[in-house]
Amino acid sequence: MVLGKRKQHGDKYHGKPHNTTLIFLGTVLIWFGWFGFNGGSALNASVRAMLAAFNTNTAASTGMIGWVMVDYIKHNRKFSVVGACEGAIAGLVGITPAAGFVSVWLAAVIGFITAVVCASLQNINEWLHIDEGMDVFKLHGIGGMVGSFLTGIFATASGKISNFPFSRLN
Amino acid sequence: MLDGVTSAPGGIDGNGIQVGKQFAEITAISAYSFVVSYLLLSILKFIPGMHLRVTEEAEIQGLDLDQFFEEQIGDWGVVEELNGRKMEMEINAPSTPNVQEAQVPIEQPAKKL
Repeated sequence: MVLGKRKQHGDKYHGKPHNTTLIFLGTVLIWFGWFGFNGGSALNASVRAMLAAFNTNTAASTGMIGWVMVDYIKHNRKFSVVGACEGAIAGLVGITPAAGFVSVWLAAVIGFITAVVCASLQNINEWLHIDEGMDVFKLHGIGGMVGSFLTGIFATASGKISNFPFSRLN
Repeated sequence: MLDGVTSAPGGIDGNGIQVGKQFAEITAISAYSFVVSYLLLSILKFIPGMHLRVTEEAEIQGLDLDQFFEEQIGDWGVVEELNGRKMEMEINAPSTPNVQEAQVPIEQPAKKL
């Protein structure tokens, strides 16, 4: 919006991912790094940090499932590796505000919902008339908003986290 | 309390006000990020040497070739090899019909890029 669009915006070639292998590699790395991000955000080695890491992995996995399911419906029963990677990122973004505060099965729900919402907003850059090659607003902006909102709904005080599956903890 | 300090009940615990608080948080943070980013980017535009856009030529030929030498990311190496082979064939047999036919499959991957 401030910078303006790229010169060749709209060319089909310039809108395509360059290298799916590199996208996959990047997703693997960011997924791994996110454990440090969410787990470390507890700032101590408590059960909450462990729960945050558990939630991170769960939400990324279900986020992947959610996005791929939307792709499956949208694109005539076909999948996309790029979509799966985007879904994992969406799930990670969605769980970040909630990581230490929800139970694991609700982390799965949050990751899934965030990915479905982000995947359904595939064309948001066109609606907003911005040229954004990396879909950062779609994944991190919208994903973060959805995740924060769901945190308010699903956050639970410690007593209830032990419902499932950590029945011995707490 | 999982870490002995924080207790954070949400809507699922019957603390519905938290949903509203989260919503206010989302609005405030989004607005703040938007306004401050917009201001900073607008200021950066007018400081010499800090503008974020590259020149038009650099944008068209790609930043790899603009900033690095010998950089061949992805398929560009293949394109160069194919172009080299095509030129070799043209030199070896300047006007035979075989070369014309051979050009078709060689040019296609180049066009995609």
